Amino acid sequence: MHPTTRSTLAALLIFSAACDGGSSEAANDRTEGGTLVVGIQTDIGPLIPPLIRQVDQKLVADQIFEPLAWVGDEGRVDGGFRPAVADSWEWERDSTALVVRMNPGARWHDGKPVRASDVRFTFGLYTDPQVGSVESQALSRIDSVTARDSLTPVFWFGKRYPEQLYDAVARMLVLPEHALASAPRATLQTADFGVKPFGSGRFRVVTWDPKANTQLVADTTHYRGRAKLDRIVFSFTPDPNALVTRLSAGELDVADIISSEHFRTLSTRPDLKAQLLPALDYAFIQFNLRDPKQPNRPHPVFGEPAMRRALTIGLDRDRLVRSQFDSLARVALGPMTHAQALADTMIAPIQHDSAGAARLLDSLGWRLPQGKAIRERAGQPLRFSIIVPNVSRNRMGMVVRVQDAFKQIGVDMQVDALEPNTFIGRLGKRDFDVAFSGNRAEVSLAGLRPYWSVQGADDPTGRNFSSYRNPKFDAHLDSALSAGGMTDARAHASQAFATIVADAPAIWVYEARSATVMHKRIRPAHMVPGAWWIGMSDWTIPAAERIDRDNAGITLTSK
Amino acid sequence: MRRFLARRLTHGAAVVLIAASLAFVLVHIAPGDPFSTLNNDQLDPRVVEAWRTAYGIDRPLPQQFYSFFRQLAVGNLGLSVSYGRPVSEVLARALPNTLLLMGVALLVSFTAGIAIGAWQAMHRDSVGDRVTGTTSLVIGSLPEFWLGLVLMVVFAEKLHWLPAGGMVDPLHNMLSTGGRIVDRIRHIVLPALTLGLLGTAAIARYQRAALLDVLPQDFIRTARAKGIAERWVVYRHGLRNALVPTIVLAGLSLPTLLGGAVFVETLYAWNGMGSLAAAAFFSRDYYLVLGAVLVGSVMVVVGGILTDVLHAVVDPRVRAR
Repeated sequence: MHPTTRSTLAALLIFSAACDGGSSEAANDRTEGGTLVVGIQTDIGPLIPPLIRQVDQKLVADQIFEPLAWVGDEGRVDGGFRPAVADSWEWERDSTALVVRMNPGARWHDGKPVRASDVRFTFGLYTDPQVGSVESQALSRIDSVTARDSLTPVFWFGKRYPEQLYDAVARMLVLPEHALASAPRATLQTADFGVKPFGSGRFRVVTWDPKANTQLVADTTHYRGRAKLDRIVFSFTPDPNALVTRLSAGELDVADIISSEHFRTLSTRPDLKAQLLPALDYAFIQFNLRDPKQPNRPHPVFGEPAMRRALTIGLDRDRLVRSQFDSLARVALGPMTHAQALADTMIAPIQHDSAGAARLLDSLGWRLPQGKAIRERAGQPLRFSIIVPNVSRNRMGMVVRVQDAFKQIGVDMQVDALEPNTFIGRLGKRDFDVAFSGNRAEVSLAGLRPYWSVQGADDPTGRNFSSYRNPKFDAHLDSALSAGGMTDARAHASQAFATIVADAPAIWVYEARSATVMHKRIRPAHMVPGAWWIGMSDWTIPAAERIDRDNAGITLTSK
Repeated sequence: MRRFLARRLTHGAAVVLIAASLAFVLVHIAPGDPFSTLNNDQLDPRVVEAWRTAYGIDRPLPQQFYSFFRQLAVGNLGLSVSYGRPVSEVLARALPNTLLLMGVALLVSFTAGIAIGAWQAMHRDSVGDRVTGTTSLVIGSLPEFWLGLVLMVVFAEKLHWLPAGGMVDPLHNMLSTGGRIVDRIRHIVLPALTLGLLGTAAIARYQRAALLDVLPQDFIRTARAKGIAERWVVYRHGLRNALVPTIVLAGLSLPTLLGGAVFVETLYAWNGMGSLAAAAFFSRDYYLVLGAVLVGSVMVVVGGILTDVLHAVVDPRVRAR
């Protein structure tokens, strides 16, 4: 922080403390302490965990609420969990019942104890179709939750599957039944709880103002010990340029950076550091395999697998991704990312070979006439349009590079940048030739079903927008999802990935890396791929490196 | 005057209703709805359909139109889907912030514009006149977003004089009353300056032209003949009479300020109507968009009426008509 700003703030805080009759406590002699100002770009709105859609909402929710157990540092879904509300768990009846022992000291922020009935209620809320949680599909694999006694919830499964422990202990944030039981489920979004949320996490809410600053302070009576930081403030900064300026000016301590240009700018600052982790977001150029005008017929161009393959090998994805993202992304493996436990990172990608692409296109009849730059077949030029959501800076930047690369092999791709709702509408109606889509991978492979399975293609309201169908892919995916152990699951998942990559219903362009830029004084802990924030309560700021706002003290609360 | 006011209010009410009706139709015919956004694409379509029914947006458009205006008649603006709160409650939080920002921006615009315009008129055709004229025109031609970013980088990132964003410091609630006032003032400077500077050029040009029209008139010549100092002649006699056309600009500035507020509020994370309306439109939060349009059009209409009234107060010829 600049000396002028620092001294002004310090003077104001000291004056404020004096007015409070000296209620501020000196924090320098404590190992705990410090204020973390986190920049978020999304208006988190009302916060009700089953309705979470945005990453920023999860970032805030994970500080206020807790699951039964946190995902461990390795990000595994079959073990390595860190206890939270649960102390321990054990399998019964051939791994179809999971008995959880809860910590008897766990308390809601209003002082009431956390009980097994709250866990049962939480499961009911997440799986209620009226509520509309995005987790409900994955949780449908749990038959029921019962309460053996006040501290022992039991999860019942119909069959074994690789991610069942994750689904039971880490997928849901436990919610207070006494606060939400009477809320109407179809319009849960309107419940008062959303603007006055409280959970059992190591931070509790002091001020809730998602359009400005939302302030949390350490719960000093927490049953697992108070958080190392005194306070976290989530400061809403919707504009990415402003976010970078606020980070540079020292107004923010931490923010997620998605633009490589911004990342480069911030990397040169000596007072900041970056943590790069695999993320769950990936982008792909998906082909419509059916003719948009006559959906019962294959697409005249992209219905041919060889055509899709030719376009895939015509792109030097490695060079494209490096030139746009530098270290902030890598070439996507398939419909998965390195952050997923079941991703096959050894899968053989379709290699770039522009001469091979040209030969393949020639063999398909798409030849380059003398003196022309665009290939033709029976007098028809090889021309199509790609729809892109105009709000995605990364995809908008990449599509221009792809367009240029296609031009080199005689393919004319027109860019049709659309407002997001229009983009989604066109996808939903299958009214496109090619779309530059993005997705956030699910921890579980079950998330792939709606997008790439035959069932997803058959359902007119489904999300298999490409209308990709390969029963072999479905069979391997189903086997991976119902495998008894992780080794079997991985083997089937690899086969499923190999099948879909070979079929090329899409060109898997890039998977993002999460770049969390933070002030150098901050010492992060437990940064998990896909959820860098879940160990925030164990982040520290050494006393010797603290700045003025770190020393504001925890006893000063909202006036 | 009463008849004049009644006529203007009737016209104003009609304008607001037409604006609301147009907004209703336009926002509904735009692709998508509050539940079809990118964030809901992982949901079972049946759940989304159930939500549409629960919030009443699956009904035919004329039925929704009738229902909206019937509710509006009893003061109910509907429910914001993205905030889960009544629209009136969401707007009530944002409106004072926008009014504050626009008020300060208007003050910046008029103070700087009138001062520059008067100075230019006094130094007509001088190098200074040309330099200030060109400079203010260049600033006035800049996109607000770009100007805001430049001011932010210079005054927040490089000089560290002012905060780069937000309405208050993250630890605002821990400051003393005096500290909070200082904090609020520091946070409004850059957004108000960005919004205000854009209007300054136009006001300066109007003011310069108006003063140049006034200065050759007989009453000014008489004042000079009486031996009154030139500065006094210009500021006391000339400027006062040349303010009338500039006052008209105040009302006309409101739509421009409201439009500019969309960008400025988003850039500076200012929780106001502009950023709210933009976000509501992108998320297809129908009733929030309509509420914002209603409030925006009321502000413009009221601004116009106030301008007319002010015009009549300062110019007896208007009153006579």
